[in-house]
Amino acid sequence: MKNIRSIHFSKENKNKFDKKNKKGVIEVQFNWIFILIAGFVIFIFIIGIIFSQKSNAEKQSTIQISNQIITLLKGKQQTADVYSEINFPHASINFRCEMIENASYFSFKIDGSDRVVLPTEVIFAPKDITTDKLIVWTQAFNLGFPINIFSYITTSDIIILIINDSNTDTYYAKELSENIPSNITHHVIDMTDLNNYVSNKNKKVVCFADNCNNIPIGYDYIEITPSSYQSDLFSYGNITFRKSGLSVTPEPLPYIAKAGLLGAIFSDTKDYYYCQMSRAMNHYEIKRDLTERRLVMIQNDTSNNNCKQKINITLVQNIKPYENIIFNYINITSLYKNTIDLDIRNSDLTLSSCPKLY
Amino acid sequence: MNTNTHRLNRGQVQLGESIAVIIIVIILLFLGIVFWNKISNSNVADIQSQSHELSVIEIANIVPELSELKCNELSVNRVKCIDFYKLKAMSEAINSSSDAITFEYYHNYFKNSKITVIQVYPQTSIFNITLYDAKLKNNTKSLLISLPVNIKNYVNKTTAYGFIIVEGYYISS
Repeated sequence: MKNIRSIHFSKENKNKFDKKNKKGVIEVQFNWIFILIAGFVIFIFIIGIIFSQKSNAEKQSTIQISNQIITLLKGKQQTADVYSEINFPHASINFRCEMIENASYFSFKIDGSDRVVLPTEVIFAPKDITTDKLIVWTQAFNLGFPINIFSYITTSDIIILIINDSNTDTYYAKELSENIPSNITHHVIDMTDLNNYVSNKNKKVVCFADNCNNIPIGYDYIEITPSSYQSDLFSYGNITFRKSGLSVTPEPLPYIAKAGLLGAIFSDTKDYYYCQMSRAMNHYEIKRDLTERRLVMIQNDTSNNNCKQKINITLVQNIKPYENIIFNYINITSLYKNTIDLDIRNSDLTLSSCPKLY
Repeated sequence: MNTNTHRLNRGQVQLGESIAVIIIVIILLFLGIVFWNKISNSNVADIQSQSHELSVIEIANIVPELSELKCNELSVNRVKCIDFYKLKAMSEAINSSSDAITFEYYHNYFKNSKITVIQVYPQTSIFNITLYDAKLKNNTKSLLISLPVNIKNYVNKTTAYGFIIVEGYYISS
């Protein structure tokens, strides 16, 4: 009986034990599931923080590059005829100049950062650049009085090919080549040597007037037609941006002064060049207005009648007629001749012991 | 029955322990994030204040170098030189109510600042010309930098001495 009882008891106990053991298993499993879920949530949270930090660091890096470029470009805007190289981590830069309702806006963007607007800088550059080194060169844009400092941006893999024009006795190619720094890759080549560069995608072909007719089909090129005025390449003239595959001859655009001509050469497209030159003409108007105000004040304050008269003639003939001038060939022709006139008047005023014009 | 309740309680305690550990870990993480945020915010504030100072220095360096202001002389002087009539013309154009274009153009150079040129010598002709004023009023602090300059009057053919005072405004945080 005792045995039966003990057997019975042990069966009861076993059942109880099994039940409790199952409960324990459930509890342990539940704990593990709970820990797994909580661990997973914490893990995701930490991963999230790491990724957000990574993206912040990338943003910071692009902002730093962007700031570095802005600072350097703005620094360059203060000094003319300076060649420099800007090194930074490899990045893609996009320059954009667009005209919206007669106003033109210039901006640039580095991959991953916001677009930066540069309202006072006039920069001629390819539309898209992917590089770790920018080559920057500056030239003063003066039309009598100083207007702005133009910056030209290029990279070491862009080649400027100037077609030799010694056969036409103009030697513009040589003159242009001598005025571009040697660190900017450029060569004066004969037309027959153009085929050596056929595979190079980063070439810019520049030719002069009649010489351009012989350029083989399939090349984009910039055709420069200097004016016959004083036979000076850097006075003023016309520029045509020819695109291969276009049957229609594009409308030429004017250029003025050395800084303007170089602007066309360093620009990728006709529209970009026109946009930047239109901005430069807006800056011209601001500087012209300042010069006019200054000369009126000097005219009122000076007791020297000779100076008064000379300044008055300058105001009437050389300053006031050029108010709100538009960038076109007729105006550019007149503006260039006015520049020469202003320089002569300035020297004349100095010789007469009068205050200078600028 | 007592044994069952006791065992159930033990199970609950085990679960409670796990929850408590997780809550503590989350609290520690949270405190860590708050602490790290505070540190990074103070870093940002430092960087901001540095950049304000730099931008005022930058403006102060730009002013006497502008061709619209500086004397037309080939010689290099230790002290910067500005043309009195260029200064007057520029001040008139920037502060003219009818000419917003000039103000906007120079706003790109001078940003949120006030630029004043004062002549201190000779004392018989002391003047004070406000070249540019961004006119920020509310919540602004300012940093001040002054640069000595020669002021040339090409009509009287005299040179005076003065200061360019650049007051850089920034929104106080």
